[in-house]
Amino acid sequence: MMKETKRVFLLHAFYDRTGIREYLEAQARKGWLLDRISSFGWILRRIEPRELHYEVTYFPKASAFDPEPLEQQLAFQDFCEHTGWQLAAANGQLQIFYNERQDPTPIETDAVLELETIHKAVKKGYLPSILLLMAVSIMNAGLFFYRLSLDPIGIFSSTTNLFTGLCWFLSLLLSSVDVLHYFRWYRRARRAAQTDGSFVETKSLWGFQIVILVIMIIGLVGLLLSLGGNRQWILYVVTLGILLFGMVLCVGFSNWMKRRKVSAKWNRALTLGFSVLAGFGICGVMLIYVLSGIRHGWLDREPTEGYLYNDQIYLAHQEDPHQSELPLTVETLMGRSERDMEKYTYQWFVEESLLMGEFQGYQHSRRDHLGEPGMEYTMLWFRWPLLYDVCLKHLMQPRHSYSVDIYGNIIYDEYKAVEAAPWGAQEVYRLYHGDYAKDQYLIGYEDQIIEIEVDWELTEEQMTMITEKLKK
Amino acid sequence: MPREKFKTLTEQMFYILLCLKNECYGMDILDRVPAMTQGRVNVGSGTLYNLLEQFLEEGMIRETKVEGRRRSYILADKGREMLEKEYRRICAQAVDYIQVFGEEET
Repeated sequence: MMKETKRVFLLHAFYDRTGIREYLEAQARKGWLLDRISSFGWILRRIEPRELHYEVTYFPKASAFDPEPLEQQLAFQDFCEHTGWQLAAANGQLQIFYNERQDPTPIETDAVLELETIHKAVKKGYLPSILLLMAVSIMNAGLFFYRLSLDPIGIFSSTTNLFTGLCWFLSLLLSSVDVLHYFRWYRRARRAAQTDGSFVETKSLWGFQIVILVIMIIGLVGLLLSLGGNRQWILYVVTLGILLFGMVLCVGFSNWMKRRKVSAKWNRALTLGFSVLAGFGICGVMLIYVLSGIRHGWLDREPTEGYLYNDQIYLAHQEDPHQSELPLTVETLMGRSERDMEKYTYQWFVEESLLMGEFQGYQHSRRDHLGEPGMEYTMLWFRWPLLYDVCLKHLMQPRHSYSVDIYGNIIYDEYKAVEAAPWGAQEVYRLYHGDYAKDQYLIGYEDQIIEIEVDWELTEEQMTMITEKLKK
Repeated sequence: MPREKFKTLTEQMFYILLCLKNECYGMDILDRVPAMTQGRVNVGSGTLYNLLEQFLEEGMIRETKVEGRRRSYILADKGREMLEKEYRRICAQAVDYIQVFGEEET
Protein backbone atom coordinates (compact mmCIF):
# COMPACT_ATOMS: atom_id res chain seq x y z
CA MET A 1 0.00 0.00 0.00
CA MET A 2 1.40 3.41 -1.00
CA LYS A 3 2.05 5.93 1.74
CA GLU A 4 -0.37 8.86 1.76
CA THR A 5 2.02 11.31 3.41
CA LYS A 6 5.73 11.69 3.74
CA ARG A 7 8.01 13.84 5.90
CA VAL A 8 10.95 15.69 4.34
CA PHE A 9 13.73 17.78 5.81
CA LEU A 10 14.70 20.57 3.48
CA LEU A 11 18.20 21.99 3.60
CA HIS A 12 17.14 25.19 1.84
CA ALA A 13 17.74 28.45 3.68
CA PHE A 14 14.71 30.42 4.91
CA TYR A 15 15.14 33.07 2.18
CA ASP A 16 15.85 30.60 -0.64
CA ARG A 17 12.48 31.07 -2.30
CA THR A 18 13.74 29.89 -5.68
CA GLY A 19 15.14 26.63 -4.36
CA ILE A 20 12.05 25.87 -2.26
CA ARG A 21 9.73 26.66 -5.15
CA GLU A 22 11.67 24.46 -7.59
CA TYR A 23 11.71 21.59 -5.10
CA LEU A 24 7.96 21.74 -4.45
CA GLU A 25 7.12 22.00 -8.15
CA ALA A 26 9.24 18.93 -8.81
CA GLN A 27 7.44 17.11 -6.00
CA ALA A 28 4.05 18.05 -7.49
CA ARG A 29 5.12 16.47 -10.79
CA LYS A 30 5.86 13.29 -8.82
CA GLY A 31 2.47 13.42 -7.07
CA TRP A 32 3.23 15.14 -3.73
CA LEU A 33 1.61 18.32 -2.43
CA LEU A 34 2.89 20.35 0.52
CA ASP A 35 0.40 19.84 3.34
CA ARG A 36 1.98 21.53 6.36
CA ILE A 37 5.24 22.71 7.87
CA SER A 38 6.01 21.37 11.34
CA SER A 39 8.91 21.89 13.71
CA PHE A 40 10.16 18.43 12.71
CA GLY A 41 10.04 18.55 8.95
CA TRP A 42 7.68 19.35 6.08
CA ILE A 43 4.74 17.04 5.46
CA LEU A 44 3.67 16.29 1.89
CA ARG A 45 0.56 14.38 0.94
CA ARG A 46 -0.12 12.28 -2.09
CA ILE A 47 -2.02 13.76 -5.07
CA GLU A 48 -2.32 12.98 -8.75
CA PRO A 49 0.93 14.09 -10.38
CA ARG A 50 0.41 17.47 -12.02
CA GLU A 51 2.03 20.73 -12.98
CA LEU A 52 1.61 23.24 -10.20
CA HIS A 53 3.04 26.70 -9.79
CA TYR A 54 4.37 27.42 -6.32
CA GLU A 55 5.25 30.76 -4.77
CA VAL A 56 7.12 31.31 -1.54
CA THR A 57 6.15 34.58 0.16
CA TYR A 58 7.07 36.21 3.45
CA PHE A 59 4.86 38.03 5.92
CA PRO A 60 7.22 39.89 8.30
CA LYS A 61 4.51 40.77 10.83
CA ALA A 62 3.75 37.10 11.49
CA SER A 63 5.53 35.01 14.09
CA ALA A 64 5.98 31.32 14.77
CA PHE A 65 4.43 32.03 18.18
CA ASP A 66 1.14 33.42 16.82
CA PRO A 67 -1.79 31.39 18.20
CA GLU A 68 -3.55 31.76 14.88
CA PRO A 69 -2.95 33.63 11.60
CA LEU A 70 -3.14 37.42 11.95
CA GLU A 71 -6.11 39.25 10.43
CA GLN A 72 -3.73 40.98 8.00
CA GLN A 73 -2.27 37.60 7.06
CA LEU A 74 -5.74 36.25 6.30
CA ALA A 75 -6.46 39.37 4.25
CA PHE A 76 -3.22 38.77 2.32
CA GLN A 77 -4.29 35.17 1.71
CA ASP A 78 -7.71 36.39 0.46
CA PHE A 79 -5.94 38.62 -2.07
CA CYS A 80 -3.87 35.68 -3.26
CA GLU A 81 -6.90 33.40 -3.49
CA HIS A 82 -8.58 35.95 -5.75
CA THR A 83 -5.97 35.20 -8.43
CA GLY A 84 -6.01 31.43 -7.93
CA TRP A 85 -3.24 31.10 -5.33
CA GLN A 86 -4.17 28.57 -2.64
CA LEU A 87 -2.32 28.51 0.66
CA ALA A 88 -0.42 25.21 0.91
CA ALA A 89 1.26 25.80 4.26
CA ALA A 90 2.46 28.58 6.52
CA ASN A 91 4.92 28.67 9.39
CA GLY A 92 5.77 31.93 11.09
CA GLN A 93 6.72 34.43 8.42
CA LEU A 94 6.89 31.86 5.66
CA GLN A 95 3.80 31.34 3.50
CA ILE A 96 3.72 28.98 0.55
CA PHE A 97 1.03 29.10 -2.12
CA TYR A 98 0.30 26.97 -5.13
CA ASN A 99 -1.73 27.67 -8.26
CA GLU A 100 -3.24 25.23 -10.74
CA ARG A 101 -3.72 27.80 -13.51
CA GLN A 102 -1.58 27.58 -16.61
CA ASP A 103 0.06 30.97 -16.50
CA PRO A 104 -0.91 32.69 -13.25
CA THR A 105 0.04 36.25 -12.38
CA PRO A 106 2.82 35.92 -9.81
CA ILE A 107 2.02 36.99 -6.27
CA GLU A 108 4.95 39.42 -6.32
CA THR A 109 5.34 41.60 -9.39
CA ASP A 110 7.53 44.37 -7.94
CA ALA A 111 11.11 43.27 -7.30
CA VAL A 112 11.99 46.21 -5.04
CA LEU A 113 8.98 45.60 -2.84
CA GLU A 114 9.52 41.85 -2.76
CA LEU A 115 13.13 42.29 -1.72
CA GLU A 116 12.14 44.72 1.05
CA THR A 117 9.65 42.17 2.37
CA ILE A 118 12.15 39.31 2.31
CA HIS A 119 14.79 41.42 4.04
CA LYS A 120 12.34 42.50 6.77
CA ALA A 121 11.39 38.86 7.40
CA VAL A 122 15.01 37.72 7.41
CA LYS A 123 16.06 40.51 9.82
CA LYS A 124 13.27 39.60 12.22
CA GLY A 125 13.81 35.89 12.70
CA TYR A 126 16.33 34.11 10.49
CA LEU A 127 19.30 36.47 10.75
CA PRO A 128 19.29 36.81 14.58
CA SER A 129 19.24 32.98 14.88
CA ILE A 130 22.11 32.50 12.46
CA LEU A 131 24.14 35.28 14.05
CA LEU A 132 23.55 33.75 17.48
CA LEU A 133 24.68 30.36 16.16
CA MET A 134 27.75 32.04 14.66
CA ALA A 135 28.54 33.75 17.98
CA VAL A 136 28.15 30.51 19.96
CA SER A 137 30.28 28.67 17.40
CA ILE A 138 33.00 31.32 17.55
CA MET A 139 33.00 31.08 21.35
CA ASN A 140 33.16 27.27 21.39
CA ALA A 141 35.67 27.04 18.57
CA GLY A 142 37.75 29.61 20.46
CA LEU A 143 37.46 27.55 23.65
CA PHE A 144 38.47 24.46 21.71
CA PHE A 145 41.64 26.15 20.41
CA TYR A 146 42.36 27.47 23.90
CA ARG A 147 42.06 23.93 25.32
CA LEU A 148 44.25 22.74 22.46
CA SER A 149 46.95 25.20 23.47
CA LEU A 150 46.75 24.00 27.08
CA ASP A 151 46.53 20.26 26.41
CA PRO A 152 47.33 19.27 22.81
CA ILE A 153 47.89 15.64 23.82
CA GLY A 154 44.46 15.31 25.42
CA ILE A 155 42.78 16.88 22.41
CA PHE A 156 44.65 15.18 19.56
CA SER A 157 44.48 11.71 21.11
CA SER A 158 40.77 11.86 21.84
CA THR A 159 38.28 11.16 19.04
CA THR A 160 35.55 12.72 21.20
CA ASN A 161 37.45 15.98 21.59
CA LEU A 162 38.41 16.07 17.92
CA PHE A 163 34.78 15.41 16.92
CA THR A 164 33.55 18.18 19.21
CA GLY A 165 36.10 20.59 17.73
CA LEU A 166 35.11 19.50 14.23
CA CYS A 167 31.41 20.12 14.97
CA TRP A 168 32.00 23.64 16.26
CA PHE A 169 34.31 24.45 13.38
CA LEU A 170 31.78 23.15 10.83
CA SER A 171 28.98 25.03 12.60
CA LEU A 172 31.01 28.24 12.40
CA LEU A 173 31.80 27.61 8.74
CA LEU A 174 28.17 26.88 7.88
CA SER A 175 26.72 29.90 9.68
CA SER A 176 29.39 32.28 8.34
CA VAL A 177 28.95 31.08 4.77
CA ASP A 178 25.17 31.32 5.14
CA VAL A 179 25.31 34.93 6.36
CA LEU A 180 27.82 35.98 3.70
CA HIS A 181 25.82 34.18 1.02
CA TYR A 182 22.64 35.97 2.05
CA PHE A 183 24.17 39.44 2.08
CA ARG A 184 25.96 38.84 -1.21
CA TRP A 185 22.68 37.84 -2.83
CA TYR A 186 20.77 40.72 -1.17
CA ARG A 187 23.26 43.32 -2.45
CA ARG A 188 23.11 41.98 -5.99
CA ALA A 189 19.31 41.65 -5.88
CA ARG A 190 18.84 45.18 -4.52
CA ARG A 191 21.08 46.66 -7.22
CA ALA A 192 19.22 44.79 -9.97
CA ALA A 193 15.77 45.62 -8.57
CA GLN A 194 16.55 49.30 -8.29
CA THR A 195 18.27 49.52 -11.66
CA ASP A 196 16.02 47.53 -13.98
CA GLY A 197 13.27 46.12 -11.77
CA SER A 198 14.41 42.52 -12.18
CA PHE A 199 14.44 39.95 -9.37
CA VAL A 200 17.68 38.02 -8.89
CA GLU A 201 16.79 34.42 -8.07
CA THR A 202 18.23 32.96 -4.89
CA LYS A 203 20.84 30.24 -5.09
CA SER A 204 20.86 27.24 -2.77
CA LEU A 205 23.76 26.28 -0.60
CA TRP A 206 22.44 22.76 -0.23
CA GLY A 207 25.40 21.21 -2.04
CA PHE A 208 27.74 22.80 0.50
CA GLN A 209 25.39 21.84 3.34
CA ILE A 210 25.33 18.21 2.18
CA VAL A 211 29.13 18.14 2.25
CA ILE A 212 29.12 19.52 5.81
CA LEU A 213 26.49 16.98 6.84
CA VAL A 214 28.45 14.10 5.31
CA ILE A 215 31.63 15.21 7.10
CA MET A 216 29.72 15.35 10.40
CA ILE A 217 28.22 11.91 9.85
CA ILE A 218 31.63 10.45 9.01
CA GLY A 219 33.00 12.08 12.16
CA LEU A 220 30.16 10.66 14.24
CA VAL A 221 30.59 7.16 12.81
CA GLY A 222 34.33 7.44 13.49
CA LEU A 223 33.58 8.49 17.06
CA LEU A 224 31.17 5.60 17.69
CA LEU A 225 33.56 3.07 16.14
CA SER A 226 36.42 4.38 18.29
CA LEU A 227 34.44 3.55 21.42
CA GLY A 228 34.61 -0.17 20.59
CA GLY A 229 33.63 -2.18 23.64
CA ASN A 230 33.71 0.91 25.80
CA ARG A 231 30.44 1.40 27.68
CA GLN A 232 30.68 5.17 27.28
CA TRP A 233 28.62 4.93 24.09
CA ILE A 234 25.68 4.65 26.50
CA LEU A 235 26.47 8.19 27.68
CA TYR A 236 26.43 9.54 24.11
CA VAL A 237 23.17 7.83 23.21
CA VAL A 238 21.47 8.94 26.43
CA THR A 239 22.77 12.51 25.97
CA LEU A 240 21.41 12.64 22.43
CA GLY A 241 18.12 11.20 23.60
CA ILE A 242 17.83 13.76 26.40
CA LEU A 243 18.64 16.65 24.02
CA LEU A 244 15.99 15.48 21.55
CA PHE A 245 13.54 15.08 24.40
CA GLY A 246 14.33 18.63 25.52
CA MET A 247 13.67 19.97 22.02
CA VAL A 248 10.37 18.11 21.75
CA LEU A 249 9.41 19.39 25.21
CA CYS A 250 10.07 23.05 24.32
CA VAL A 251 8.30 22.82 20.95
CA GLY A 252 5.42 21.02 22.65
CA PHE A 253 5.19 23.74 25.28
CA SER A 254 5.05 26.48 22.63
CA ASN A 255 2.38 24.58 20.66
CA TRP A 256 0.37 24.08 23.84
CA MET A 257 0.51 27.86 24.48
CA LYS A 258 -0.72 28.43 20.92
CA ARG A 259 -3.66 26.07 21.45
CA ARG A 260 -4.56 28.07 24.56
CA LYS A 261 -4.55 31.20 22.35
CA VAL A 262 -1.78 32.89 24.33
CA SER A 263 -0.49 35.97 22.49
CA ALA A 264 2.75 35.70 20.49
CA LYS A 265 4.54 38.10 22.86
CA TRP A 266 3.72 36.02 25.95
CA ASN A 267 4.26 32.73 24.17
CA ARG A 268 7.76 33.80 23.11
CA ALA A 269 8.67 35.01 26.61
CA LEU A 270 7.23 31.98 28.41
CA THR A 271 8.71 29.50 25.95
CA LEU A 272 12.11 31.15 26.40
CA GLY A 273 11.74 30.94 30.18
CA PHE A 274 10.57 27.34 29.97
CA SER A 275 13.49 26.45 27.69
CA VAL A 276 15.99 27.94 30.13
CA LEU A 277 14.43 26.05 33.06
CA ALA A 278 14.19 22.85 31.03
CA GLY A 279 17.84 23.31 30.04
CA PHE A 280 18.91 23.57 33.68
CA GLY A 281 16.66 20.65 34.59
CA ILE A 282 18.11 18.48 31.84
CA CYS A 283 21.68 19.40 32.83
CA GLY A 284 20.81 18.50 36.43
CA VAL A 285 19.38 15.12 35.41
CA MET A 286 22.42 14.40 33.25
CA LEU A 287 24.77 15.33 36.08
CA ILE A 288 22.94 12.98 38.46
CA TYR A 289 23.04 10.24 35.82
CA VAL A 290 26.74 10.71 35.14
CA LEU A 291 27.63 10.82 38.85
CA SER A 292 25.56 7.69 39.49
CA GLY A 293 27.22 6.07 36.52
CA ILE A 294 30.65 6.87 37.88
CA ARG A 295 29.71 5.73 41.41
CA HIS A 296 28.25 2.43 40.22
CA GLY A 297 30.84 1.88 37.52
CA TRP A 298 28.21 1.86 34.74
CA LEU A 299 30.40 4.07 32.58
CA ASP A 300 33.68 2.39 33.40
CA ARG A 301 35.54 1.03 30.46
CA GLU A 302 35.62 -2.29 32.29
CA PRO A 303 34.41 -3.33 35.74
CA THR A 304 36.89 -2.19 38.37
CA GLU A 305 38.09 -4.13 41.35
CA GLY A 306 38.41 -2.62 44.78
CA TYR A 307 39.87 -3.53 48.15
CA LEU A 308 38.83 -2.68 51.70
CA TYR A 309 41.14 -0.69 53.96
CA ASN A 310 40.12 1.13 57.18
CA ASP A 311 36.44 0.62 56.30
CA GLN A 312 36.84 2.31 52.90
CA ILE A 313 36.89 0.79 49.42
CA TYR A 314 39.87 1.76 47.26
CA LEU A 315 40.57 1.05 43.60
CA ALA A 316 42.69 -2.05 43.11
CA HIS A 317 42.51 -2.65 39.43
CA GLN A 318 41.13 -0.86 36.36
CA GLU A 319 41.92 -1.79 32.81
CA ASP A 320 41.07 -0.59 29.33
CA PRO A 321 39.53 -3.02 26.77
CA HIS A 322 41.93 -1.72 24.09
CA GLN A 323 44.91 -3.13 26.01
CA SER A 324 44.77 -6.45 27.85
CA GLU A 325 47.80 -5.96 30.09
CA LEU A 326 50.13 -3.30 31.44
CA PRO A 327 53.10 -3.57 29.07
CA LEU A 328 55.55 -2.67 31.85
CA THR A 329 55.35 -3.27 35.59
CA VAL A 330 57.60 -2.57 38.58
CA GLU A 331 57.92 -6.33 39.05
CA THR A 332 59.33 -6.72 35.51
CA LEU A 333 61.91 -3.99 36.10
CA MET A 334 62.83 -5.61 39.43
CA GLY A 335 63.31 -8.99 37.71
CA ARG A 336 60.17 -10.68 39.01
CA SER A 337 57.71 -12.41 36.65
CA GLU A 338 54.44 -12.38 38.63
CA ARG A 339 52.33 -9.32 39.39
CA ASP A 340 52.09 -8.56 43.11
CA MET A 341 48.33 -7.93 43.38
CA GLU A 342 48.49 -7.90 47.20
CA LYS A 343 50.80 -4.89 47.24
CA TYR A 344 49.90 -2.86 44.16
CA THR A 345 47.02 -1.21 42.37
CA TYR A 346 47.18 -1.28 38.57
CA GLN A 347 45.42 1.09 36.16
CA TRP A 348 45.77 1.78 32.52
CA PHE A 349 43.89 3.84 29.93
CA VAL A 350 44.15 4.08 26.18
CA GLU A 351 42.93 6.98 24.09
CA GLU A 352 43.40 6.84 20.34
CA SER A 353 42.33 8.94 17.40
CA LEU A 354 43.15 9.14 13.69
CA LEU A 355 46.02 11.47 14.55
CA MET A 356 47.73 9.89 17.55
CA GLY A 357 47.37 7.60 20.54
CA GLU A 358 48.01 7.92 24.27
CA PHE A 359 48.53 5.12 26.75
CA GLN A 360 48.70 5.89 30.46
CA GLY A 361 49.80 3.26 32.92
CA TYR A 362 49.83 3.59 36.71
CA GLN A 363 51.17 1.27 39.33
CA HIS A 364 51.12 2.40 42.95
CA SER A 365 51.37 0.67 46.31
CA ARG A 366 48.10 -0.14 48.05
CA ARG A 367 47.27 1.77 51.19
CA ASP A 368 47.85 -1.36 53.22
CA HIS A 369 51.36 -1.70 51.71
CA LEU A 370 52.58 1.88 51.58
CA GLY A 371 56.25 2.38 50.74
CA GLU A 372 56.48 -0.01 47.80
CA PRO A 373 58.16 1.67 44.81
CA GLY A 374 55.62 2.84 42.23
CA MET A 375 55.64 3.90 38.62
CA GLU A 376 53.64 5.96 36.12
CA TYR A 377 54.24 6.22 32.41
CA THR A 378 52.65 7.72 29.32
CA MET A 379 53.28 6.48 25.81
CA LEU A 380 52.40 8.65 22.82
CA TRP A 381 52.49 7.38 19.26
CA PHE A 382 51.89 9.56 16.19
CA ARG A 383 50.20 8.93 12.88
CA TRP A 384 50.74 12.54 11.92
CA PRO A 385 54.51 13.22 12.34
CA LEU A 386 53.97 16.98 12.86
CA LEU A 387 52.39 16.22 16.23
CA TYR A 388 55.65 14.79 17.58
CA ASP A 389 57.22 18.25 17.87
CA VAL A 390 53.98 19.82 19.12
CA CYS A 391 53.60 17.25 21.92
CA LEU A 392 57.28 17.23 22.84
CA LYS A 393 57.27 21.02 23.14
CA HIS A 394 54.18 20.81 25.35
CA LEU A 395 55.74 18.16 27.63
CA MET A 396 58.97 20.14 27.89
CA GLN A 397 57.22 23.22 29.31
CA PRO A 398 58.30 24.15 32.84
CA ARG A 399 56.10 22.38 35.35
CA HIS A 400 53.65 24.05 37.70
CA SER A 401 55.40 22.58 40.71
CA TYR A 402 57.93 25.14 41.90
CA SER A 403 59.71 26.37 45.00
CA VAL A 404 61.38 29.60 46.02
CA ASP A 405 65.06 29.64 47.00
CA ILE A 406 66.68 31.72 49.79
CA TYR A 407 67.22 34.57 47.31
CA GLY A 408 63.55 34.67 46.37
CA ASN A 409 64.09 33.08 42.93
CA ILE A 410 61.36 30.75 41.70
CA ILE A 411 62.65 27.31 40.77
CA TYR A 412 60.47 25.28 38.41
CA ASP A 413 60.66 21.63 37.45
CA GLU A 414 62.28 21.57 34.03
CA TYR A 415 63.45 18.93 31.60
CA LYS A 416 67.12 18.95 30.66
CA ALA A 417 68.81 16.87 27.96
CA VAL A 418 70.74 13.79 29.17
CA GLU A 419 72.59 10.89 27.54
CA ALA A 420 70.26 9.08 25.13
CA ALA A 421 72.43 6.00 24.42
CA PRO A 422 71.29 3.84 27.41
CA TRP A 423 67.73 4.26 26.21
CA GLY A 424 68.45 3.57 22.55
CA ALA A 425 66.47 6.70 21.75
CA GLN A 426 67.09 9.78 19.62
CA GLU A 427 66.68 12.23 22.52
CA VAL A 428 66.18 11.88 26.26
CA TYR A 429 65.41 14.49 28.89
CA ARG A 430 65.43 14.22 32.68
CA LEU A 431 63.32 16.34 35.02
CA TYR A 432 65.28 18.61 37.32
CA HIS A 433 64.22 20.79 40.19
CA GLY A 434 67.05 23.30 40.13
CA ASP A 435 70.12 21.09 40.34
CA TYR A 436 68.26 18.20 41.90
CA ALA A 437 67.59 15.36 39.38
CA LYS A 438 64.19 13.70 39.73
CA ASP A 439 63.43 10.17 38.56
CA GLN A 440 61.30 11.30 35.67
CA TYR A 441 62.31 11.01 32.01
CA LEU A 442 61.08 12.09 28.63
CA ILE A 443 62.26 9.75 25.87
CA GLY A 444 61.88 10.61 22.19
CA TYR A 445 61.89 7.97 19.45
CA GLU A 446 61.15 8.47 15.77
CA ASP A 447 57.35 8.47 16.01
CA GLN A 448 56.87 7.95 19.72
CA ILE A 449 57.39 9.74 23.00
CA ILE A 450 57.47 8.06 26.41
CA GLU A 451 57.29 9.89 29.71
CA ILE A 452 58.07 7.78 32.74
CA GLU A 453 58.25 8.51 36.46
CA VAL A 454 59.56 5.97 38.97
CA ASP A 455 60.23 5.98 42.72
CA TRP A 456 63.89 4.86 42.45
CA GLU A 457 67.09 5.62 40.52
CA LEU A 458 66.95 3.62 37.27
CA THR A 459 69.87 1.45 36.19
CA GLU A 460 71.05 1.33 32.58
CA GLU A 461 69.68 -2.20 32.36
CA GLN A 462 66.27 -0.98 33.43
CA MET A 463 66.43 1.87 30.91
CA THR A 464 67.04 -0.67 28.13
CA MET A 465 64.18 -2.84 29.42
CA ILE A 466 61.81 0.16 29.43
CA THR A 467 62.60 0.82 25.77
CA GLU A 468 62.13 -2.88 24.91
CA LYS A 469 58.74 -3.07 26.63
CA LEU A 470 57.27 0.31 25.72
CA LYS A 471 58.64 1.17 22.28
CA LYS A 472 56.13 0.10 19.61
CA MET B 1 20.69 54.80 -9.53
CA PRO B 2 18.20 53.79 -6.81
CA ARG B 3 14.79 55.41 -6.98
CA GLU B 4 13.59 57.37 -3.93
CA LYS B 5 10.39 55.85 -2.54
CA PHE B 6 7.36 57.23 -4.43
CA LYS B 7 9.47 59.98 -6.01
CA THR B 8 8.35 58.45 -9.30
CA LEU B 9 5.63 55.86 -9.53
CA THR B 10 6.01 52.50 -11.17
CA GLU B 11 3.37 51.48 -13.66
CA GLN B 12 1.73 49.24 -11.05
CA MET B 13 1.62 52.04 -8.47
CA PHE B 14 0.21 54.44 -11.08
CA TYR B 15 -2.67 52.16 -12.07
CA ILE B 16 -3.51 51.21 -8.47
CA LEU B 17 -3.88 54.89 -7.57
CA LEU B 18 -5.85 55.49 -10.76
CA CYS B 19 -8.31 52.74 -9.77
CA LEU B 20 -8.83 54.47 -6.43
CA LYS B 21 -10.11 57.71 -7.95
CA ASN B 22 -13.48 56.27 -6.90
CA GLU B 23 -14.06 54.15 -3.83
CA CYS B 24 -13.05 50.60 -4.55
CA TYR B 25 -12.44 47.31 -2.70
CA GLY B 26 -8.77 46.51 -2.53
CA MET B 27 -9.21 43.09 -4.06
CA ASP B 28 -11.17 44.44 -7.04
CA ILE B 29 -8.09 46.35 -8.17
CA LEU B 30 -6.60 42.99 -9.17
CA ASP B 31 -9.26 42.76 -11.93
CA ARG B 32 -9.57 46.45 -12.77
CA VAL B 33 -5.94 47.09 -13.66
CA PRO B 34 -5.67 44.39 -16.37
CA ALA B 35 -9.12 45.40 -17.65
CA MET B 36 -8.06 49.06 -17.86
CA THR B 37 -4.81 48.24 -19.66
CA GLN B 38 -6.12 45.43 -21.92
CA GLY B 39 -3.98 42.95 -20.03
CA ARG B 40 -0.79 44.95 -20.47
CA VAL B 41 -0.32 45.57 -16.77
CA ASN B 42 -0.91 42.97 -14.07
CA VAL B 43 -0.45 43.54 -10.36
CA GLY B 44 0.47 40.60 -8.18
CA SER B 45 -1.84 40.02 -5.21
CA GLY B 46 1.09 40.26 -2.76
CA THR B 47 2.41 43.41 -4.42
CA LEU B 48 -1.05 45.00 -4.31
CA TYR B 49 -1.51 44.14 -0.65
CA ASN B 50 1.87 45.63 0.30
CA LEU B 51 1.42 48.74 -1.84
CA LEU B 52 -2.01 49.45 -0.34
CA GLU B 53 -0.42 49.21 3.13
CA GLN B 54 2.35 51.60 2.11
CA PHE B 55 -0.01 54.07 0.40
CA LEU B 56 -2.12 54.04 3.58
CA GLU B 57 0.95 54.73 5.74
CA GLU B 58 2.04 57.59 3.48
CA GLY B 59 -1.45 59.10 3.51
CA MET B 60 -1.84 58.70 -0.25
CA ILE B 61 -5.07 56.75 0.17
CA ARG B 62 -7.57 56.37 2.96
CA GLU B 63 -9.80 53.55 4.14
CA THR B 64 -13.49 54.15 3.58
CA LYS B 65 -15.18 50.89 4.58
CA VAL B 66 -14.26 47.79 6.56
CA GLU B 67 -16.49 44.71 6.14
CA GLY B 68 -14.78 41.85 7.94
CA ARG B 69 -11.54 41.40 6.01
CA ARG B 70 -12.80 43.33 2.96
CA ARG B 71 -11.65 46.93 2.95
CA SER B 72 -12.32 49.68 0.48
CA TYR B 73 -10.12 52.66 -0.20
CA ILE B 74 -10.20 55.98 -2.02
CA LEU B 75 -7.52 58.33 -3.24
CA ALA B 76 -6.49 61.02 -0.74
CA ASP B 77 -5.26 64.50 -1.67
CA LYS B 78 -1.62 63.51 -1.37
CA GLY B 79 -2.23 60.52 -3.64
CA ARG B 80 -4.03 62.69 -6.16
CA GLU B 81 -1.09 65.14 -6.15
CA MET B 82 1.44 62.36 -6.71
CA LEU B 83 -0.68 60.88 -9.50
CA GLU B 84 -0.92 64.25 -11.19
CA LYS B 85 2.81 64.83 -10.82
CA GLU B 86 3.46 61.44 -12.42
CA TYR B 87 1.00 62.19 -15.21
CA ARG B 88 2.76 65.47 -15.99
CA ARG B 89 6.10 63.70 -16.00
CA ILE B 90 4.84 61.07 -18.46
CA CYS B 91 3.29 63.78 -20.65
CA ALA B 92 6.55 65.71 -20.65
CA GLN B 93 8.31 62.54 -21.73
CA ALA B 94 5.73 62.00 -24.49
CA VAL B 95 6.24 65.58 -25.74
CA ASP B 96 10.00 65.14 -25.75
CA TYR B 97 9.57 61.90 -27.67
CA ILE B 98 7.38 63.53 -30.33
CA GLN B 99 9.81 66.43 -30.61
CA VAL B 100 12.67 64.05 -31.37
CA PHE B 101 11.02 61.33 -33.44
CA GLY B 102 8.15 63.44 -34.68
CA GLU B 103 10.65 65.75 -36.50
CA GLU B 104 12.32 62.78 -38.17
CA GLU B 105 9.04 61.44 -39.41
CA THR B 106 8.03 64.79 -40.82
